[in-house]
Amino acid sequence: MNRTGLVAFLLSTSMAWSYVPLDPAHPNIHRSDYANVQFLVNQAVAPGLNNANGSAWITSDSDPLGAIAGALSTWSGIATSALQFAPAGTTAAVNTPTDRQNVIVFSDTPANRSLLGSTVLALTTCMYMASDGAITDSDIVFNPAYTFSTSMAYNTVDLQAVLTHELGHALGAGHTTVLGASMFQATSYNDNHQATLSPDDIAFAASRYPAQGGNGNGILIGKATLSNGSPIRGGAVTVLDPSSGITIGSLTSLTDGSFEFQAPPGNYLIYVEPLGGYVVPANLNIPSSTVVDTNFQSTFLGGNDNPSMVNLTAGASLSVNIQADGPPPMFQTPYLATDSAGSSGDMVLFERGPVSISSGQAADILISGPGIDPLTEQDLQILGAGISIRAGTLRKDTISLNWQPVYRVTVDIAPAAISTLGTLVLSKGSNLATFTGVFAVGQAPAASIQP
Amino acid sequence: MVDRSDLIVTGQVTRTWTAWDDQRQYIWTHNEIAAHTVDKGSPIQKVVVSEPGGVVDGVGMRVAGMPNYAQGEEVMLFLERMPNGYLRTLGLGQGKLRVAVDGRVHLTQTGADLIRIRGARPGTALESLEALPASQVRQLVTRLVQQRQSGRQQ
Ligand SMILES: [Zn+2]
Repeated sequence: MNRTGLVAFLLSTSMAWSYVPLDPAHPNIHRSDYANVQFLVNQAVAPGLNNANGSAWITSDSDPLGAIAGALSTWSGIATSALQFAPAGTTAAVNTPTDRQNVIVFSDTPANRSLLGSTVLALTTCMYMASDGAITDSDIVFNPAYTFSTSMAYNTVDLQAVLTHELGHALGAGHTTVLGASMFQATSYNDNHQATLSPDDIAFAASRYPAQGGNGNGILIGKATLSNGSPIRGGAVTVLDPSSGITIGSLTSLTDGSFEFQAPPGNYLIYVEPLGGYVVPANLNIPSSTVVDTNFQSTFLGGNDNPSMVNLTAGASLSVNIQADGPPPMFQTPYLATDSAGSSGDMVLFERGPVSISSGQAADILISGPGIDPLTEQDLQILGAGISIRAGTLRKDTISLNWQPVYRVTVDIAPAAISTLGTLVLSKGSNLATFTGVFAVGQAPAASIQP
Repeated sequence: MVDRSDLIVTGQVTRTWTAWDDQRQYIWTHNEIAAHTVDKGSPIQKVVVSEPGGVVDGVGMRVAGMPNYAQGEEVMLFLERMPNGYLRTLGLGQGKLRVAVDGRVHLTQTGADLIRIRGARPGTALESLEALPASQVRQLVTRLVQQRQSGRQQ
């Protein structure tokens, strides 16, 4: 093949990723030092650290170095990946993106405040060579506008959860379409579920940096199209094993709708859903000039009336094509909350995003939002392992939210359901919407949360 | 969002470019907006909105979740002045509404790099602005700006 031909081939080849890359425009951003990634912790990081205004930045009851070590070992502990972080050293260096040192900093300077803005909790500046995508420097900078802790203290942000997420960026991961995963774009106060890697986060590390003997995954490739045959560009595709709860998301190619997954062996449902609601294209760093198809509704392989399962085995490669149809979903992204099972009329904090619930107990899930009312038990389904809706418990609460009624339903969470995700499926007639991994099930927090 | 904005403008993206900052620390992508209307802040014809990240001279910098702009886009922007003098999109992409050809606004981001999720609370939910005519959103913004000004005088 001559040089011109090769270039043309490279340009026309579709890009299908088994995870959402840090930058869809430069999907090759990666670490070449993945077998021994060295992070340094700036020496100012300590319990009781205040910001420049004298406000608590790290609470005095925190163990920041323990949390940092914990986040590094979480990523290093993935058996199916060759990825390893070296134990963190300490340094007087700060975040200098050109010094080829990866530094974790709490440094309240005008430059860092300008870089962070007022909204992000922390960020990672990934410097890379444009020629080959190799990351040369990745500093993680925490925002002095927030208070971090490792104790789940009231109104604080969990340091380890945030760092675990930022380390994912330092490895080349972008944000995910799986709402309860560590690489989801947002977090809540007093919530540490993102300190635990979900199968979606693990699938990124295992496919980007596979273990020497292989990662034991199977491969699923395919294409998502609309019923008129045109490709679905930038659709969120999910594989979900209802018996294990394994939920892995990816994005279809922005040019031809193709997709590729690496997932552990299992029996999977596969569906494509439009970006919108909790995750929109900009959250995934998709350039605003790029066309993303959203004029369809969540559609399962085999059809929404009778979804088919795909059996994936280690080392196997399967090919599946999904055809999705309109109309666009009538359900807007719901507001969700949890509360004690069987209660009513309580004051609760609603979230637009993932909701954490504890395993081994029953809980009420509260749902509200435009398009939800009226809701029947037949309209509601939760896909995942060890999460079941208790029959006959769906009821309208006495409270309302933004003039919309609030529904409550009691769910039972098996004790064995730890660090698993539940996906909410809402359907009415031929309308169906999926909220992938929106329930993050974990162990009950060790520390009590005082209002 | 109106309270926290230093500048609220509607306009068109006319130019984008990347450059190192003055200290040659970080790469920023700058976006020039030709302002049609200014609903908060001093009247101005051109605004430059800057966000970290981009590629300069073979070196790339990427920060997840930063809003991006495309030349020709019609936008309504809620902007915040940084200590280094740059104007940035408020709340990451939350402060960037795209104005479609039919004159309706569309949210471009629902909350980005690990911002904390807000619980539902009184006020105008950002989502409720989705698909409203830009003129209506501007009326709402102008009313809020005026309310705040009269509130300060009292
Ligand atoms: Zn992020």
